[in-house]
Amino acid sequence: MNQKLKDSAQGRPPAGAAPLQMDLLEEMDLSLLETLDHALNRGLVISGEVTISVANIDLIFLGLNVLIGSVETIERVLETREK
Amino acid sequence: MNLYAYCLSSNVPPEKVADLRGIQGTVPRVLAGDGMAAVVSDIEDREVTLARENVVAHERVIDSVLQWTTPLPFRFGVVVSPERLLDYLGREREVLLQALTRVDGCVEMNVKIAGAGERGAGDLADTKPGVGPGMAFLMAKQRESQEWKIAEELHQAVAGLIREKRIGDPKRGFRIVSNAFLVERSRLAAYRDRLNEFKKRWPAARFLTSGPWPPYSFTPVASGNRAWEANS
Repeated sequence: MNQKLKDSAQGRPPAGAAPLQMDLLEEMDLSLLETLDHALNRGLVISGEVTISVANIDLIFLGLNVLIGSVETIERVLETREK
Repeated sequence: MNLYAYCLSSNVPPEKVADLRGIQGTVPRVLAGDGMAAVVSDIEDREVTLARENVVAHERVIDSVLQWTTPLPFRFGVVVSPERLLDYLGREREVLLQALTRVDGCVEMNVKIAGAGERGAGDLADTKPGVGPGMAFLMAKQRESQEWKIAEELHQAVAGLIREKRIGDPKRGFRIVSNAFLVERSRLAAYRDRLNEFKKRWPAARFLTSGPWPPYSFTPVASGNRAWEANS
């Protein structure tokens, strides 16, 4: 993922995002955040063949995901797991 | 034995794939189909865990392939039998080959735009009890409109430098407009220059730019991919 760092840039922290201060995040976190946004939300799928179990997701992992708006993906994964 | 699927390509070199380190410490390999090949790992499990190291391994393999050619990436977590994967490649052959042609020679670049500028309506509504829900709604709509205005101008700014674009669904309550651009590798430098110029024109807006990525946003739309509509 280091390759993405050279092209990853952030602006000012968004207003209203008080729980997460973007300016405190490391570049690596942002890179991971972007990786999650891509790898979990997009890409080829084979119908009925995406099976993900959720474990070992730490808080920064979840928090970053919320920040970029991928919370729906996490919720979907959790719902899938509960079924 | 199952296969963990990373990506598809029409010309990925098998000998280079064998040097990569895949998910769960596996060595990836190439599974040849008709006119294309899948990069996969043999795994025992029927599913993979959504853990940081697995997501990183997924991206690491695809990113390595991206250095040699432009593949179509699978979403994280695709575990299939060899028979089912080959069936998929055969059944979707035309669509996949067309998609590989569309992304050939390109990479995906992303621009997220959030919080379009000056102290916004949401802040006022939060801090001033006198601002009722109706006014807060109107102000929020105005703010959203501003973010889309920036996105539209961004699209105009890079129009001559991109092959296709996708706009993410903003209806998540996070006021973020996500833009994905398919950029030919030879035009990356020009694209970056244009983007940097554009950002200077909107000093109050917040941008998160990243790339180059495998063309995740330009894979054929599947049932779980509805949030990303074609806007090219």
